[in-house]
Amino acid sequence: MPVAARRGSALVVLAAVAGPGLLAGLSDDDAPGITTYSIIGADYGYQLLWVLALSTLALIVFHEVGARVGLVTGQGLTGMIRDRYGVRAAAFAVLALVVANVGTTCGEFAGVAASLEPAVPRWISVPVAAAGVSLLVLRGSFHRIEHILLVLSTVFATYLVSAVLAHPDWSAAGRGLVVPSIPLTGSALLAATACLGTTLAPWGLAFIQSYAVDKRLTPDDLPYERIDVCVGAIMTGVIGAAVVIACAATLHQSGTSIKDASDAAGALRPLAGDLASSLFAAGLLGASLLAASILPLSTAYSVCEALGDEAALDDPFSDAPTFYISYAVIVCVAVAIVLIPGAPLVQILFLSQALNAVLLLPLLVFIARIAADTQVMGRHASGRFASAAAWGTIVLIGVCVSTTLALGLL
Amino acid sequence: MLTLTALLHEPVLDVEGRPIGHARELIADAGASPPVVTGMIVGGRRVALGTATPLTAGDAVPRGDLLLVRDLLDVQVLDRSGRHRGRVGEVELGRGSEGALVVSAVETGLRPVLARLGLRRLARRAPADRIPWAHLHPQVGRAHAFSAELHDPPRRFHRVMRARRRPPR
Repeated sequence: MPVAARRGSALVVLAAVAGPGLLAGLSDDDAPGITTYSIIGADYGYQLLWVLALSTLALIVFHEVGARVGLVTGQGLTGMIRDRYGVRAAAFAVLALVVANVGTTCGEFAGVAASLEPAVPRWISVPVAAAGVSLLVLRGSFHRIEHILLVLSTVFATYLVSAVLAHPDWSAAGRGLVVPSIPLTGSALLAATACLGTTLAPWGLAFIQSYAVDKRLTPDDLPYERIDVCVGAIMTGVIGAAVVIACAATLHQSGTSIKDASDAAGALRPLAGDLASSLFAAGLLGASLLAASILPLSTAYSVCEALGDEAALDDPFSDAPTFYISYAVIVCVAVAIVLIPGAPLVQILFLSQALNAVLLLPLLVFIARIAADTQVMGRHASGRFASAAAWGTIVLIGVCVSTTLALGLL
Repeated sequence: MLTLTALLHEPVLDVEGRPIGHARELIADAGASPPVVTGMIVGGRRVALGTATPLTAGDAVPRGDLLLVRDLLDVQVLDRSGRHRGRVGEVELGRGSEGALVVSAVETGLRPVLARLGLRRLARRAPADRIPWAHLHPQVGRAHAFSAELHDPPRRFHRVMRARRRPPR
């Protein structure tokens, strides 16, 4: 076959395979993600950019592992844990996933509330958003609006332009990216932990594996899926870095700390001027609604998979009660927490991501062990390099989490 | 009815009635249909069923290549069209034609999961589907999966039954 034709067919295959890595990666730039990166930039300037770089590397390592396990076994994460380690281990993993995902779903609804306040009070915006996304997802028309929400959330790509227009100190940014340093304070450690937890979110790991299975990808697609994972993770890291740099060049310079969404919108002022708040609110709303749609759905699938009681969206309630009850419980608990009078929305967004990092650890251990298991993965089992990268990431997150816990910050 | 997970909780005794530990795995001869349980793994050693004594070096290793915990418990069950139909939550054991212990069926659904998690009250009210061994086939080319001849998926069967119970108009 001519080289050009071969290249052409490779691009067609790549386009067909692409999706799990891109979606799972880009969905990390959701409301809690943007808030966490904004706080890091506003409070610590460029100093913690290296944490984001490490988080992006960890994202590449574990999304590749998750996609590979999905492609080879044809099973989702919690189902695979039950297969290898039994029903108790699966129940433990599901519990960690549910707690983490309820926290992040709280973050998404807090994002909805923050983007519309003070024009719309949260006791109206949050229940309406919850009912709206639930109806859209459960009635099966979710795929129609998925693209609209995805486009809306790409507003955050404007941070790339804003970061340049804010005239940042590029040498300081470069130093922050490659020279690891951290103020030895509890809040800096908490910020680093939240950065890891939001970039490598537990729900993203479950989602990428399930989505790879859902697309019926096979081990032959692995080289293309690796490109998909790398592109998705790097785009996430670049947008995250742009948010940190934009906030460092604007909010950190002026000594502004982020207490609500309008403070975070200040970083878009070099690009959008007085429209910064509206632009930020639109992006926050789109990203929040998109993630608020996917998260409960992904969690309900994980619960059902572990229980061996799998369901599809077109099943009636009588056939799939576990699925619908799981979905409803996650949405209702998240809405109830956000509606607690006087609940600090930005703090909820930020702390839910630190909690993610804690609950991430047991899930990563399961994934790393399954990926290295030759009985399950055959010739696709992790080699020495992949295993070392996975366990290195686990140790890094473990050190961050245990130090933060030791300081009593979580 | 004897089940795999119940058996794993029972102590294994030697011929003199002394406990030698708990079985971590049951070994069955997959060549037979239904598979005949030939031994178990106790404390990392293979023990032939019937002799009830720990094997020492030089003893015959029990025949069989189907490890019930590793290869059967918690693996997925697909129907003939490849659609996921649940996971094996429990393995039912029975007596074969010559009194040998055999794998007679598997149970899928919520009931065995809840029972294994110790939630027995909830388990009693939860649904479960029993699939006889004769209807199960290992999935070719896919480890950790069995396909089953589920012509009438049980849930749909219940729905048909409910529909039939409606009074005619």
